Amino acid sequence: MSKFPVAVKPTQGGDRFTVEVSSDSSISEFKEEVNKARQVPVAEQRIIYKGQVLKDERTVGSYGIEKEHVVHMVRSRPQSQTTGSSPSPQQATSQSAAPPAQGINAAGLEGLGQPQQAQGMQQMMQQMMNNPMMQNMLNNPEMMRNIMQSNPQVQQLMDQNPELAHIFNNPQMLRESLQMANNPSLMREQMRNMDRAMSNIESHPEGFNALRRMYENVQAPLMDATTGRGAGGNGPEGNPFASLFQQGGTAGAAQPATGTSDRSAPNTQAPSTTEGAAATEPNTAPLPNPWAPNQPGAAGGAGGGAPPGLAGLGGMGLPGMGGPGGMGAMGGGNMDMGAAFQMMQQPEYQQAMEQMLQSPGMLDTIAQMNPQLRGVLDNPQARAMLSDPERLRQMMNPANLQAMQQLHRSGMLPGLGLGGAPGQGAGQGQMPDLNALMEGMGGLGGGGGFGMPQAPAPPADPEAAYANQLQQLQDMGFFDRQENLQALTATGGNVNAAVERLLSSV
Amino acid sequence: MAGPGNVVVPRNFRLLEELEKGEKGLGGDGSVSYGMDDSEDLLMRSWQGTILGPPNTVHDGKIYTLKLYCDQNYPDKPPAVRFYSRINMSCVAANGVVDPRHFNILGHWRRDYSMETILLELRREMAAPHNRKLSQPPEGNY
Repeated sequence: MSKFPVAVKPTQGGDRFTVEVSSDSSISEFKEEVNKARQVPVAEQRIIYKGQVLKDERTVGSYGIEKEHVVHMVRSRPQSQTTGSSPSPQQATSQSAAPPAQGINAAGLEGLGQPQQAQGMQQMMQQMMNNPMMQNMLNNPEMMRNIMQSNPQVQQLMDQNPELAHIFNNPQMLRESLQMANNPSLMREQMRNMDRAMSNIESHPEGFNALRRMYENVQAPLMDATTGRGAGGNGPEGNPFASLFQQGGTAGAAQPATGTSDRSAPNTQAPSTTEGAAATEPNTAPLPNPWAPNQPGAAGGAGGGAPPGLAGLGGMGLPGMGGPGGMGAMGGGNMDMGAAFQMMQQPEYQQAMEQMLQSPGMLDTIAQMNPQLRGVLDNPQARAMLSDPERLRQMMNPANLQAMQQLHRSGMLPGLGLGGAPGQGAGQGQMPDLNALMEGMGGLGGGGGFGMPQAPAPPADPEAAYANQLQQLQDMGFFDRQENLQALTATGGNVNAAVERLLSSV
Repeated sequence: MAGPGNVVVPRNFRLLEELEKGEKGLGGDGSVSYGMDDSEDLLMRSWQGTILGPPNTVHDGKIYTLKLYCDQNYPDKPPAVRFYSRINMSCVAANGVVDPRHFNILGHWRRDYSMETILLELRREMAAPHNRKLSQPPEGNY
């Protein structure tokens, strides 16, 4: 095949030059040519053409590069990973040296692997991870440690088990587990590896004993801490992790009353207030079964939906995470208004609410943290409602709350949840001790609350009601009427939000 | 729209012009690049672009990939722009969509802006004081 000249423009200075290639030569061959012409090591070259980074194994022709076209050559520093196009959670797989680490991962993985956890959880995690606040936090090992150590249970756990303490103090570990929680395929892979490794160990003489030791050293104390078994059985003490292992609706339904008194009782453990917000019932089961399928929609489910997914993380001592996870779950489609209202009646909560009302900037902060929420706040009505302290206070009035709750039960007032949910997210932000952390979380929770289930009741005939918006979308080039309609219904007729939704689903 | 003497270039001509500019690398300093996503699409709707992170910022040395969608109203209306690579930036929503309300070029679109304008402006935005130091998510795609 005949060769033709292609111009290469180095982006970091230098004149353009030409290399001769044929359309069936591969990009790596192309890079060799560039290397010959300008002595740029192949590994440091990144070739960009028409808005994409060219892959080594494809050919010049497959990208449609023709005679006298121009490609850009970026020279990257060897040590930096230059592109945004390669997801890099792989490092997590390579990490498995220390047995305790495996134990932890296993606990986390198995909890997360449940089919029940599926999509919603996944998305929540993702959103949470994408939140700059969260990112910041994860990048700050000091802060992570503080958060964990502010939890007495974890503290105790660490004192008793030095191996575990080591893990908690290793920010890399934490990040990896989170990353894993974020990536289902990676997680499955890890679980497979674990299973394989386990069976290998078991077949080895003495291996089983080693396993048992490992269990005693790692798994058991973790379980203890997470379930509050060590702290005396049925956790009315308000063990922050108790809810993580909640057994679906049965346990919850059995003792709803204890659940509430649990939280109104003076609480000595600061972080557990945040957790308590997500979980209404104490754990009644003597021995937890983290593998039990959870029922997010059930009575106790407001908190239960997400946290089991975080079981491993809970084990890792992330009290804060349980909170937002739970809150996320509330918004993520399992909004249990009953639980939410119960929470809103708590004195601490109301106090937090008051605090928020007094700082007008708060709302903005939260809004900025979360684009979804921003969308809602751009709706002038919602904004007025939220920024009018009097209105909010009225809403917080116990009597009103009760009425609202009743209305909600009868399914007549889905829209009013709007008032409750953001407050919830926001209120969380003011909880003592975890202030900074929870601010971010509050935003998240609020955002979750603002998700789909909160959308105003759809009109009887969306097609007619949104005719205008449909036309607009059509004009914008979204031709799938059905999809448009869905997006509009979900966003309550907000074209901007619908567009974002459509785009993000592509 | 166009005053007397101005010629309104129809959508497809305009896009063909931009396509050629992207392929031949005319104009620009190579800090941004763009081209059609799917060369089979006769309506020339889906585009992609890259932005080279500006030096002396957290974005330095990174290559960001974006998707641009030019509907039938382009260039009267701006295209929808979405980051494909993860980025933390004031005008980019959590799902990567560039928010026209926070990004002037899209919010106050003019017909003579092009996709290159958008990319160059986004790059300038990356270097703006409120963005240049923002902590960035781990690399990956939306």
